[in-house]
Amino acid sequence: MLISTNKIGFFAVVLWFWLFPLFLTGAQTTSLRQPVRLTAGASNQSMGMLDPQETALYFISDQNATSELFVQTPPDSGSRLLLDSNADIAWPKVSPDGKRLAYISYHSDASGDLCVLNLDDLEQRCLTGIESSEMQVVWLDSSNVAFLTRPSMHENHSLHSINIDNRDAARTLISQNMINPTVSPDGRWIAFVPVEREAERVGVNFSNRTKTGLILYPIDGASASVSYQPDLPGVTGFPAFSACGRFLYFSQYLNDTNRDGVIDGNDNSVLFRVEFQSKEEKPILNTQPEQLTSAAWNCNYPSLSKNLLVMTCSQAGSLDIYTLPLDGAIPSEWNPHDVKQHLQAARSHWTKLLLFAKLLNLEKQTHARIDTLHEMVFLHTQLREYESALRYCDQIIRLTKETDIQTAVPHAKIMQEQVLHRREDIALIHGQLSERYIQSELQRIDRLEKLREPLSGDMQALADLVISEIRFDIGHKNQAKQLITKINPLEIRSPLIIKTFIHRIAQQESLSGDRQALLFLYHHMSTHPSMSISDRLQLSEDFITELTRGEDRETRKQLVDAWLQKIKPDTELAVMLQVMQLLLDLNEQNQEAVRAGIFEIYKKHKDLDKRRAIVLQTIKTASKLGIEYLQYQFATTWASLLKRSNPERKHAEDLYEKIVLERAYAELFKNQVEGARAHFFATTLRTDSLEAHMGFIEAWIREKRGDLWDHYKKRFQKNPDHPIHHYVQAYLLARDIAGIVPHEKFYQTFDQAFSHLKRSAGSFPRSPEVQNLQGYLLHQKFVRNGNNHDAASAYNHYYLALDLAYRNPRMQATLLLQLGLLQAQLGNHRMAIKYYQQRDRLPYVRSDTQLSQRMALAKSYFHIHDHQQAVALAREALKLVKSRSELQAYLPLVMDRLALYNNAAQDYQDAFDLYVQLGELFEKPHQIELGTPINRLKLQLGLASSALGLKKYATATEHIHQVQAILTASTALRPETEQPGRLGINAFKLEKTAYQILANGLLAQAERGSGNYQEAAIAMQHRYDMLAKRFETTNTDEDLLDMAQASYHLGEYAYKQNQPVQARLHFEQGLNESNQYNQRTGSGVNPTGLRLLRALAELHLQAEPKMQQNQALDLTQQVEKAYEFICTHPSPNWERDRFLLGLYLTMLKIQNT
Amino acid sequence: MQSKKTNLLMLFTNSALAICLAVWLPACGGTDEVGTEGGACREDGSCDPGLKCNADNICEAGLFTKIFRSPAFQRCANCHAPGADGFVVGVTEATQNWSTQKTAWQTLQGKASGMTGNQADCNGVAFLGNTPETSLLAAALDEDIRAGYVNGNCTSDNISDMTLKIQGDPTSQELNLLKEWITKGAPE
Repeated sequence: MLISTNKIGFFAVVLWFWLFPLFLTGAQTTSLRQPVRLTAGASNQSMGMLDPQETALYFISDQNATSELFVQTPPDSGSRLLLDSNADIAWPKVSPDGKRLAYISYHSDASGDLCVLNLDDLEQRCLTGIESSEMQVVWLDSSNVAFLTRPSMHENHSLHSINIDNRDAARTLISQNMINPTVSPDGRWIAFVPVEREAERVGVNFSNRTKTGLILYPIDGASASVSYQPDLPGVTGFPAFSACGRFLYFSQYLNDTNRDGVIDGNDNSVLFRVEFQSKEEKPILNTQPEQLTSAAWNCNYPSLSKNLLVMTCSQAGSLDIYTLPLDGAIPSEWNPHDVKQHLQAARSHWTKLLLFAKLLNLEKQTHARIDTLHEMVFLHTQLREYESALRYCDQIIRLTKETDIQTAVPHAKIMQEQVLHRREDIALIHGQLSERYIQSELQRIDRLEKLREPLSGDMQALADLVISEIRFDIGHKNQAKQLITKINPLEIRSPLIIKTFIHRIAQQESLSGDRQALLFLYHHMSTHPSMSISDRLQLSEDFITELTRGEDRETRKQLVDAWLQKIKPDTELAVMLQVMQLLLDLNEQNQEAVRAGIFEIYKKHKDLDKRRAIVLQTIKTASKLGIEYLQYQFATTWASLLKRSNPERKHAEDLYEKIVLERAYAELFKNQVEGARAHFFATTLRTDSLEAHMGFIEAWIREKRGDLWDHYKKRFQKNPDHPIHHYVQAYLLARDIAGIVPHEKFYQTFDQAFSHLKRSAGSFPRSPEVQNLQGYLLHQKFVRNGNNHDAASAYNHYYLALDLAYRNPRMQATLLLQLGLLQAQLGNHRMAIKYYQQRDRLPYVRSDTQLSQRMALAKSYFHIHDHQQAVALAREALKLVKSRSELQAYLPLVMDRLALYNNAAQDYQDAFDLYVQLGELFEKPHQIELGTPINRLKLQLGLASSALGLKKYATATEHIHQVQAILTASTALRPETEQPGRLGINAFKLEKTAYQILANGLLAQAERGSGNYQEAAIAMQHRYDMLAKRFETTNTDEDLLDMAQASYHLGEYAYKQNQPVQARLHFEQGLNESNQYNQRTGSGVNPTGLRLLRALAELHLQAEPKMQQNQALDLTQQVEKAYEFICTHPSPNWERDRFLLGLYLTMLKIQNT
Repeated sequence: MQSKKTNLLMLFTNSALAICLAVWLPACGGTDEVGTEGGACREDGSCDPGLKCNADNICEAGLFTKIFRSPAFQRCANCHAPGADGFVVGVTEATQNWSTQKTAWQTLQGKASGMTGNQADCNGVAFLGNTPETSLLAAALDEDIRAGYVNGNCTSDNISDMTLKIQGDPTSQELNLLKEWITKGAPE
């Protein structure tokens, strides 16, 4: 390598938008809460539980392949293995006094044992053995546990209790098939999920049917068991009591989300809670359960501490432990007005459903409840969550008995039929109509027509819509169309029915590809008086999307202009078309004029929905074109308009923060460093974003603005122990650590940086920036000391950072490259390639990062001997360098690497030509000094080796002589700072002796090629002698093997000069060295040894009688031993040796007899 | 919002001060010089710049001094000062200079400048005005004032919310100080 690329990776470090940790803060009272993640990693973390003091989180993780017990103390810190069980563990449960932990172990019994662990001394003992199968455990109090057990695999379940201190015989509490038992804090009730056996002979554990609801069992037996059926669709699981006992939490699998035809534990789960009155005979009154999590999160395993709900949720492909306050995602103090305000700002259907569920619980008026239920039915239908939609239809029908709303029942019944039809429709195999399906749907049409008869207006239209949909789906397309055309949408008053109409038409016309019909629909519906402004704006956007879909910019402009002439001004559609008209002209040059135009429209319209639509459309378009100015202007204006009490404000603030940070990056990219620095700085003022601090530091340094240490010292003058201050200091130390010499100073800096980082890590437990920096520091330490333990730690931190940065592609890009480099430095080139390829799937903002990736990938391919791929990648790198002026400094490096890979790929001519071009570069002025002794030496070596490949022996000899001249000169090859060993193992650099050995080897080959065996032997003997001398001091296996190889060549040259005795002596010497190598490295054979054995055998078999076998060597025995090895360890590389050695062995044996 | 603890502390400080004054000032270990903050007023009733003589004849921080020293307003200098780390040409208002109390007061007597884009219409508008409701500075910090602000072409739509740009909003006490100061004619 001519030029070091050590720092390329580091400067590409860019991070993510920091979300302030909310663990235990009880914050977020004014906005909808998001679950806070406690664990990280690509593996699954589940069954989390906090100790009573909330100082430790216990959970199960499969990060080491088996499910083992881990702990995080404090709960939002890094994880550590608590129990090295070497077997699966499940259901960890901390005792009420926090001193012990009960769990199910599969260590000695594959069907499960109940075990208890003392948390102070980690002493563990198991209370059951192989005579029974334990499945789940729960504490009754601090000394007694209840455990679910069965005598054998196929027998029924029962719940037993045992005192763990005196270990009296277990007694049976309940004999019933069940799962997930849990005990109320006062010890009065056990709640569990009842299950029933599906098949007589198959164990209930293997084949069961979950019954709906929960059973509440009084432990004292004073009253009867109570069945609790929540008024929810689906099945119930994982009951858990709150610490105070006032609430019973549980999971509800509401819908068949995986579309396998059944609702079970494989579907998405939502957490609920219901009030619990332990002293009552019926502890749960008939109340609607309170929804705590959004269905989008898929959370279960609720576990309650004093202040927190701990749960396992599935996000981004793996399970992790999350927390929410006890009242879930929606603060319990919210009133209907708060909920409605947040509904206005809600973005996703699931969030809206969560809010509607809350509203349903809060609303007292039946009319209002029915309206809410209609909205819920509509949203669930949109999401294809048909069980929920049906359940809420039932609720509407039940509620209407209390009211005089005449239309509610038919409305709900028509919706029920629509949902049932859709459920039938998706159940069709590959969409193939069946006779049964057609008949059932025709009957449905009959029912709907009967329902429709007495109806008028909206309800009649709805019935026609549903009938039309069914007819369309069973193939009666004309009848379906006729029904639709009968409906006059402008006469419909209900927004939900209008939306149903729009969806129906949009679906039909999208399938037929009738754009004009869709435009007609969106246009007219966007002015419908019954629609809200927000709905009209949405329809206007749909109109514009359909109008401009697939058209080039010019045509889009013409279409927008034409429509603006046709439609009424001041409608929502007109406003959005005016904005689009301006945005279609937007470019870097006219951005100020476009801004002014859009701002005029913005100021003219005071309605918040309209302004939001204008702002979001502008930001979306400007973002696509990379025009940050416009984004910044409107994000600022929009956020400044909204008062803090408006739920939309939080979204506006998030948008503003992201845009400021993006603008900073964009300005940095455009080399507008001053602006970038100011924007990064502005973000550091507003947030605790470590990413912004890093951006600020990088911009500041590029700007050469002054002493950063001093800047931060002043900034944190009043609070020098602030975690951000510690992080920044660690970052500044890490930035320069790679180049620090001597080693003592490096380790001193490492310790300082790590100490700062540790002091900031506690405050940023889930920060990828902190994990990345820890990884980087350990990576650099590994580079210095070669200690694999440091490499493993670096890998863990990088990997954790990668998991935490799942929403930050910038950070991911950096980490993937770092992971690749680390693996390559460990010699795991195939793993490195995997990471480099993943990195390549993300975009490149900086050309040097792209170059770094290409070169690193090429290097790894070279090391796995895929030389063609290495050449292809190095060629791409060369093309990149030639196309980008800022990369010119890397041209010699890339040419050198490409030439090397060409040589390896036996493209000697290309290699030779590249070396010649490289030599010409040396003569020209360059950004860095190229003509240093070491560079000239490497160039001559490259020329010599490619000339050898081309069989231009005289040319090769000429270049080798130049190498020798450079080596014999008194000047040092490198400056003092680049001496070998000064920068650690990865700054591996050869010494003069090594080059001399190399040059002698090449010279020997060149002379041999020219037929000058005597000169070849002299050069090779020099090589051998130097290797032997070095071996005396280094004692390395590699030198020993090189000596064996040199001996082989010496033997070969002697043989070519008709000196068989000399040849045999060299071969024997070589074989002796090869045997020593095998012994030292534990190898059975090596390629040089096999070559020597072949040579000796051939020599022996062909020689005159005086060439007797050396008794001490026992050639036959050695050939036999090697032959046996290569036969018992088959490798395609040894195919030729297997044939030849087998043949020679037979001949030797014959000769011996 | 000020915490109860702080209120109690202030109460304690004020009571202690009253007792000291009643007994003998030096006995409390007071070394405050005449005219300086906490010290007695000069014979002519004057104090050092930024301080005013209160009813107890003690020099105390004037309104603007209190504003300038408050945590929220201390952050202004991060952007509104020559060469400030957060100053962005075309984005940051350029007249204000919060480097020192004196420059801050002086520049606030002037008019806004240097803003571009949606905020440009507020260039040339006085920061203070006669009342908090007509003050551009107050409008940039207080959402209620901002919502009703009109001064020629500069309206609420043109004013960017300063609390967007810093962590932690100004407290109601800080905002009240600002309003009081403006109402009293923005004395130095």
